[in-house]
Amino acid sequence: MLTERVDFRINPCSFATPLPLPPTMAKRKSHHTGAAEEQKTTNPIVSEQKRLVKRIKKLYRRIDRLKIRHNELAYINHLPPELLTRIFFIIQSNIQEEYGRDYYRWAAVTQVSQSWRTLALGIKRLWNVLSLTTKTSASLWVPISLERCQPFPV
Amino acid sequence: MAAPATQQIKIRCNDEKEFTVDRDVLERSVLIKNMLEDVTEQQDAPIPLPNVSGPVMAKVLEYCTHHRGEPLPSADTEQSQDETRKRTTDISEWDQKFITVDQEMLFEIILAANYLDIKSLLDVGCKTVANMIKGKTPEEIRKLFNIVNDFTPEEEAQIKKENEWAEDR
Repeated sequence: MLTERVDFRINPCSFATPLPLPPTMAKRKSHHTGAAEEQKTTNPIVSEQKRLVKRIKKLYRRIDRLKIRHNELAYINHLPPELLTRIFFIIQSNIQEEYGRDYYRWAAVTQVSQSWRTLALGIKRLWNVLSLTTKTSASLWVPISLERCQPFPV
Repeated sequence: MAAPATQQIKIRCNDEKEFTVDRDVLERSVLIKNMLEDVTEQQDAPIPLPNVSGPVMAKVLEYCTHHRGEPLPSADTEQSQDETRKRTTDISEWDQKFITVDQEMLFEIILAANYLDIKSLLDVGCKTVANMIKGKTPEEIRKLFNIVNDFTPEEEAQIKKENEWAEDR
């Protein structure tokens, strides 16, 4: 999944090792049958790309850590989980009263950040109230709620 | 006939700031109330409050002074989930004005109310935050609280699926 974000554009000038010979020339130089395979593994372009992909993945992991740290510093995240939980319950009950058919709008809190999502998905009692409306959006949330509220009854 | 003198209590915050406050005002805090009940003799030494700073305590005392004399909520700390669900986001006009502060102060007040065990103030704080969040999209909530999207691609995919369902009307 991470490779979707990888940019494979490479500046040839940045290579420490010379570029490989074109395939025809390489073929002429190798007279045994396993030469193509050998060239594949030692191809400096491929090696360089592998090295860069590793580096990019490492940087992405670093960025992920920085994002988590950034979010930890947000004032709202200074609240202990039990207070954030309390706020989630208030939002849920209020949306139930005010929006009715759009009951599952409260679940926006599960899509804010990793820590909020982990917290909200771990509070089983948030999920044991179902909204059975004719709306497809709501009815499709029902199986999600049923799964997430276990082992509490609905 | 002169009213009986109210006992004055001294408190000291974590930045050494001290306040001298009427006992009935301070007793809005269950933590301090219990502390005072445990002390039989009158003490001159201030009560240390290591988790609250002076500016935050000043705001908390403003709230306690305004609400002095009002009945305290029941001592039942373990409220049932149903009771929690019954909470609404209604806040009185005075409380709304009082809690109109920057985010740093808002969350400091909530933390102080939690530490000092002032249920009504904790309720006002939590309801205020709930009001700020309700009806907003995840992106709007992030912007409001200066949070960045830190989801993994897998979590993003799951969220996208949930949203596709929500949009399928």
